[in-house]
Amino acid sequence: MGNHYHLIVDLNTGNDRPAVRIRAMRLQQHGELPQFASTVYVHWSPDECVALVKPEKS
Amino acid sequence: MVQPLALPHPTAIGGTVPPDHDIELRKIFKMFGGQAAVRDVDFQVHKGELFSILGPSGCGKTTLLRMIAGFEEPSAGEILIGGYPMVGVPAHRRPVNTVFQSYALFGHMNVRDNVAFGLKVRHVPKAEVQERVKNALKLVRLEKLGDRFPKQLSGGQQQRVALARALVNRPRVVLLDEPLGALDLKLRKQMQVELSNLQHDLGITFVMVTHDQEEALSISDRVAVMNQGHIEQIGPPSEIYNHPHTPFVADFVGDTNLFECQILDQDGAYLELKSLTGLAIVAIKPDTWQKDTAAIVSVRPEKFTFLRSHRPTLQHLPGNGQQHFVYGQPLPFDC
Repeated sequence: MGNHYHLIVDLNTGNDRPAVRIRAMRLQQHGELPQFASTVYVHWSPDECVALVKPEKS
Repeated sequence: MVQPLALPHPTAIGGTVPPDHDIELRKIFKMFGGQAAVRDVDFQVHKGELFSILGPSGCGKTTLLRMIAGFEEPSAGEILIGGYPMVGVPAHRRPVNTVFQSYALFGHMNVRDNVAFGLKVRHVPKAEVQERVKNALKLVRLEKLGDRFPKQLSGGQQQRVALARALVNRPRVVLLDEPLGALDLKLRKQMQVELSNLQHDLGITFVMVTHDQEEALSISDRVAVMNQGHIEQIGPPSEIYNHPHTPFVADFVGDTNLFECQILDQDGAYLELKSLTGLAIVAIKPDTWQKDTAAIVSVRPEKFTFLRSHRPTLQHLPGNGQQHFVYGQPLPFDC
């Protein structure tokens, strides 16, 4: 069991807009320090995205 | 002579089925100077449940607890305990006991006398007081510290005395107002486990107020998330975390990424969206969706996966790593 570590990644949307910054988290396996290249490919499943409708103010 | 309210069994007075919940709140409102501190709160707390009311400071959660305890009366609505209305029933006649964040122990009394206080006030026979105090101290593992005074105890031990003082009265429900809030992090974690074990062993209903989302999620059977006087969602911890109903719940409980989006289309159980920052997103359609045109999408940090190469699939984008944090220490990429 490892520790969790956090990553700050700027996503390139490819349409001349500013990058979109996300905060991600991963599990550090076997006590190893994570190795990263500065360019990573980020994937997220639609089933992990929860759409929320703003409640109306009462 | 002060006696707590002895509730008759409901079948004894009407032949009705006893309720499967200990507490029921119906349309509760509380106004302070024209401002609603609590508004339109409805929920039930099941028998033997550890139920947490979670929210930021000033959201009305302590006011709600104080109304259940009888220290405040609702401006509107009904509170029932064991199926019986509590309107007009004073705090000392309700079958509940409260544990406060400050413990509220009597400094001039030793541990044993602190725990015995409520029983003595009610003129419980001396032999019974001794037996019940002994059992209550055993429950919280303080049986050897009965002669000590509060100032001779650690914060965790004082908290356990406060708990014993509540349990010795054999209440139907124990109310806990930020019970671990005064403890340091390590002790708080330890006491969370002790509190949870004690509650499950005794089977008494606990209602706990906390602003600590990790505490609420780790030991509660169900959690009510409160915001600006209103309950935004009630459910088991996993449901609150994985299926938040509102942007507030998603943001307050745990860490998340929130994207403000326009809804472009719908397809079965999914919505197709575009974030204001330009991300194309497909997300699960919320139960509450009624052809709304805007939504906020929540993606938990641990839901992102990282690949070495590009794949032409939905929601797969190149990114530039900025920083990563191990043990709270920021490290550069390419380390």
